[in-house]
Amino acid sequence: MAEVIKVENLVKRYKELIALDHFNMSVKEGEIFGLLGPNGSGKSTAINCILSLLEYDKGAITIFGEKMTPRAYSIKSKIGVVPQEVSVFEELTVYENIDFFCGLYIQDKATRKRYVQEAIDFVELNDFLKFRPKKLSGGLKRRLNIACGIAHKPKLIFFDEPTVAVDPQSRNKILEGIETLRQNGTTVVYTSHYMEEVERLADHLIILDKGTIIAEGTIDELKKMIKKSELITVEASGIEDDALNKIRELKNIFNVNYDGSILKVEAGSGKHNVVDIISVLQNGGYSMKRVFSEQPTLNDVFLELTGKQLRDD
Amino acid sequence: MFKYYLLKSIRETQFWFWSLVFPLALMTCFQVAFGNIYEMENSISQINVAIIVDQESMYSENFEMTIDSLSENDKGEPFLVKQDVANIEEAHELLLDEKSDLDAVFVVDGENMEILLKKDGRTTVTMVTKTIANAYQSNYSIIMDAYSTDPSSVPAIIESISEDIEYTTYNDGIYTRSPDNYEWYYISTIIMALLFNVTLGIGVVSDTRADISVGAMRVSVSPARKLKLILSAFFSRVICVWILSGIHLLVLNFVFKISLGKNWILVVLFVMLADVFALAIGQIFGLFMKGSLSQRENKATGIVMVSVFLSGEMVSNLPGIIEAKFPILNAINPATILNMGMYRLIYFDQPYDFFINAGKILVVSLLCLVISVIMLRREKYASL
Repeated sequence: MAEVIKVENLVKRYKELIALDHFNMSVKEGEIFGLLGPNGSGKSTAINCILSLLEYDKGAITIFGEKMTPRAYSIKSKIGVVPQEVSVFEELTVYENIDFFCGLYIQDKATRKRYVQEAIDFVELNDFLKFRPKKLSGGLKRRLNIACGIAHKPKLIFFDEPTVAVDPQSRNKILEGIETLRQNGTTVVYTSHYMEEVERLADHLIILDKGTIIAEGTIDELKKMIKKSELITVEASGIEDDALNKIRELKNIFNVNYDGSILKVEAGSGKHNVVDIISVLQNGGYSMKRVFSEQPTLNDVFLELTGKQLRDD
Repeated sequence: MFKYYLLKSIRETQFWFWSLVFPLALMTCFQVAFGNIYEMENSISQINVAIIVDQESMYSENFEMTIDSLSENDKGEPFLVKQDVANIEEAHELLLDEKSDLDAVFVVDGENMEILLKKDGRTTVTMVTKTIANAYQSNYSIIMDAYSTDPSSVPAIIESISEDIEYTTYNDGIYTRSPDNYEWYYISTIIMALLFNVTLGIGVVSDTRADISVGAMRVSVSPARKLKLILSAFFSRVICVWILSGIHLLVLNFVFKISLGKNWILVVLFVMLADVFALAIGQIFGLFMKGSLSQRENKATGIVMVSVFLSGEMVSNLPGIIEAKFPILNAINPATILNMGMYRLIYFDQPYDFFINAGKILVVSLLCLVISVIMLRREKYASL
C-alpha cells in the first residue's frame, strides 16, 4: 500500500512546553490510523502541524508524496478535516453550511449539489436542512461537522475527536460512518482519548503521552507489548490463603486479588491459565458461580507503559 | 462563496442591533425630546408685556430700550408688545384675569428685577421673559463693572456682546441653509451607526483567521485562495452596510425631516466611503485586539462609543472644548472627522471639502485594507 502521510522528527514547542517531541508517523493508503492519548497529549497539535496550520520547530511532512505547505493547494484539495470543535457558521443553515464548505473544494454547481446531498444522506440530516446549528442537538451538530468535512469526497480525512460530548446512539452512527468510509477506500486519521473507539476502528495506531510516542503498531502488537495478556475473574466465596498461594505459584500468574467473593487474577501469555486456576479451586473444594477471561485493553497497555489511566472519566 | 458570506452578514443579529435598531431608537428619542423644543420655538408668537418701574435708574431706562428693540422679530412680526399698566396692583389683577391678554410684567426696582407671569400662561412666555431678563442682568453687570474699573474697555465689551448676539445668524454666502444645533445630534447618530460597522470588519477577520474562529480553521485547510476569501468576506459586508446606510439616510430625510442639503449626492457618497472606512478600521481592530471574537467586538464597540461621545453625540459643544484644549484629539478621532465632514457637506456649499475629506478617508481605508489583507493572507499560526 502506498504511503499517504509521512511525518519525520516533528518537533513543536509552545514557549517552554514541548508539545511534540520528535514525532514520527506513517499512514498507508486505505487504513484507519489511530492517534490515542489523554487530553493534552499532542494529538490535535500533530494534526494541525500536518495540515500546515501550525508552525513547527523541526521536522518534515509529506502528504501524497509531496511536501505539505500552507500553499500546497493540490494536496489540500484531497484532504478533509473534521475538527474537534463543531466548526460551522451559526448564521447559515445545515444545507448552506455543507454547501459553503463543499464549495471551497468543488466549483461545479451540479457536482457540488450531488455531493452535498450524498453527505446529507450519509450523516442522516435530511430532516434538518433548514435548521440553524444552534437548534441542533449535540449529536446532530457533530454529524453536521462531519458532513462539512467529507462532502467533497476527500481521499484523506482527519477526524479530531469527533465523538466528544456525543450520546451513545450518535456516537455509534459516527463510528459506523467512518467504517463505511474505509470500505470506500478513504484513508482516515482518527484521534481520540476513547480507547474503545480506536480499538474498534484503527488498523494501526500510535499512543501519545506528553508529546512523545510511547507505543506504535497494530492493536494486537500493542497488546503483546505488555506483560499482562489475560484477566481471569472467578466468583467464589470463602477461598482461603492456602488456595490463593497455590494460584500465585502457578506458571504465568503475576497478580492475584481476592475480596472475599471475587477473585481477580492477572496472567501472562499462556494457553491453560483458566484451566489451571479452576483445577486449584476444584481440588480445594470451592464452588464457583461464574468464571470468565478478558483480553487486555488499550487502557491496560497505556497503564502499564505510563503508570496511569488513559482516561480519568 | 460570496452569496453565503452575504447571507451570513445579513443574519448577524448583533450587527443589526448596533447599526440599525440602536441608532434609529436614539434618533426617535431625539425626535421626542427635541420635538417639544421645535414646537416651542415655532409657537413663539406675540408676547404682551408690561414694565413697572418703582425707581427710575439707568438700569430701568436701558431695559425699557431693550424691550422696545424686541418689539418685532426678524421677520417683522410683533414679538414683545408693550402694554401700559399703572401699578403693581393692576398688574396682579390683569394677570389673574383670564380675559386679559397680558402675559408678563417686569417689575424693576433700582437694579433688581422681578417677573410676574400670567396664571396658567404659556410655557414659552416663561422661557422667553426669563431668558431676556437674565441676559440683560448679565450684560448690564459686565458693562457696569467695566465702567467702574476700566472705562476705556467698555466700547470693546459692547461690541463683543453684540457679536455674541449675532452668533446664531448665518451668511447666505457660506451656508447653503441655516445651521441647526439639533440636527447635529442626528448627523452624529448616523456617524455612530456607520462606525458600529467596525464589528463587521472584525467579522471579516474572524471568517478568515484560523486562530480566531473554528469556521476559519476549516476554511484555512481548504484549497480556496485566501485573497478571494478575504475579498468575498469584505465586499459582502460592504453591500450590507451600504444597504443599511441607505435606510438610515432615507429615514433621516423622510421620517425625521432632516434635509441632506443640496449636495445630497455627495453626502451619499461620503457615507458610502465612511462605511468602507469603518469596515477597514474594524479589520485592523480584529487583527490587533486580543481575545475571542465577541471580546474583540465588545472592545471595538466601547472604542466607538467613546469616539462618538468625544465627537459631540451627547454634548454638541464638546468638540469645540477639545479643539481649544487638546486639538490633536479631534484630529485623530474618526467620529469627529466624519461628523465634521458630513456636517460641513450638508451646510456648506463647498464641494472642495468633500474631496479633501473623502480623500483622507479613502487613503486611510486603503492603508487599513492593504495591511489587513497582507496579515490575513498568512496561513500558518504559532498556536490555535
